[in-house]
Amino acid sequence: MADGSAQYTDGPTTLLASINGPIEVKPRDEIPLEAYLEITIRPSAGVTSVREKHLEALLRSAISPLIIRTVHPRTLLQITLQIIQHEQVSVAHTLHTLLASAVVVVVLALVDAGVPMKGMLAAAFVEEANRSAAHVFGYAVTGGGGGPGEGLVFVESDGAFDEKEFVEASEIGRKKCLEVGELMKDWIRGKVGRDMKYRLK
Amino acid sequence: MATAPPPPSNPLSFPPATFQKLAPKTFLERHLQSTPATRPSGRGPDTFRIPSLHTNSLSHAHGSAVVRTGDTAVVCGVRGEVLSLAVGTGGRIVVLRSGEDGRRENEEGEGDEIRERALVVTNLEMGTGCTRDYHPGPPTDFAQAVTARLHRLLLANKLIPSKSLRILDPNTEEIKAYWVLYIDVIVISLDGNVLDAAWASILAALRSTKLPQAYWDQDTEGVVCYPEVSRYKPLGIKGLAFTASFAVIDLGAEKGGKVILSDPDEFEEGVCEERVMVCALEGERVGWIEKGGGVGQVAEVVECVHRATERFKVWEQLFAKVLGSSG
Repeated sequence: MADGSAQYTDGPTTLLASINGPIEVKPRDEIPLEAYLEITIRPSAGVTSVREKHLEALLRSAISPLIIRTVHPRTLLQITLQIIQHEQVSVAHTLHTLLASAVVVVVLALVDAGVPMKGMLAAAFVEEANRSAAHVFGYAVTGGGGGPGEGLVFVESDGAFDEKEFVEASEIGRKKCLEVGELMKDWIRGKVGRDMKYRLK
Repeated sequence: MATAPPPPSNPLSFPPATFQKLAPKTFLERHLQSTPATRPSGRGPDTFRIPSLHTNSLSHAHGSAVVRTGDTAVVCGVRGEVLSLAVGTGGRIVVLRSGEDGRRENEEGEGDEIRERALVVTNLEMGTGCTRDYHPGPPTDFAQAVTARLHRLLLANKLIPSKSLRILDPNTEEIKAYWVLYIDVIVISLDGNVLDAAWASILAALRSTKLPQAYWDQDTEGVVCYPEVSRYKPLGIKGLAFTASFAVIDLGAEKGGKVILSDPDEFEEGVCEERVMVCALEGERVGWIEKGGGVGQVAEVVECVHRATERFKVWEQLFAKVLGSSG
């Protein structure tokens, strides 16, 4: 029984994330003033390879700035992401679409687990009209109580583009992220409403 | 009673090295708050380390390069092996790779063959003792993540023309076999920013790679290479692409805000969580941007793009000097 979990389907992609934490940490991983973050990605078929390790590193850089790790020092926060289905629409951008969905599902699972966070992160996949470039943007969408507010947390861009095109794409990405953020907030409101129904007599 | 040591004159003072160990973040912050802002290594925030390059120092590889930036040094070796597409010839074991059935070659479909048939194999190895924090054992998550990024960069930039990896039947012009490039990067010494050095070494090694001229021999049903070194051919790498990595530290709104450090060393990488990586292409274009680890703004990334474009020129000059225009 995990402390928090979320399942997310976006078109051909279905992902399941589970969170355990704070739990006991192995002595070698213990950090004196912070919680240790362990991210594991399991592919839908086969064993974990270099590709999954790369994705883990990207996911870590996306979500770690929003988790307040100092609240539970000397503990472990375990994030496991199971890829249930990820159809390859185009081979070149398979990692980008997966990454955008992975960020959303992991953030929802973190909220479900009650992990202390500065805000939520929403991610969106943006592709240039002529397919010359593909971007994933991650924006912090909520920042209640002195949080970071809105801000660009994560970028993964690939293709051939120049500075102007990048700035334009980032603006589209920001708008998309805000939309995704509103959806995420709605889902959480619905979930909390159902969970707390017994109290609303 | 006279043997008691004298009390220290100032109990709150200790040498810089101790300060660095005790409070690494404060140590870096104090350096950056001085005027002009200076990093512990003596560089300015936007100063990269000066790179050096040597090629073809390994005699048994088809191409190789050594790149050094500061105390980070890497060696890259490229070796070509023949991958036969014919099934079951002469009782040999033939590896068939995915996506190979009935694909017609076209001149425009560059990169796809290389990706689908896995014609480049990248690997990065951290030599034992290359850094204080690196212990012998299986490849760490960090090494694996860097390998995956190098491989993605190589495929995304489409630098290798698939034409130069094809081995044809001279009579029918049919593809009978491929060259597979095994690209191995070994980190000799690691002082931060391994990606930039590793990527430059791969590019230099590929540019210096010369493969034997090979053809399909119908009589023996096998690939034959001409032994003469004079008939070795370069790969014909198209264009240039160079990565530039940055670390970002937030000093707080009243103390100067965010500072972007170009080409971070080991100590700075340990302190700064936020990272940006930009791959600059020719003509001030960008091939790749990666950012993570902190909440920032688009302006920050744009600043990194500018610095990466400047850095591109430095690498370009070095490559032109060492490899010449032929490269």
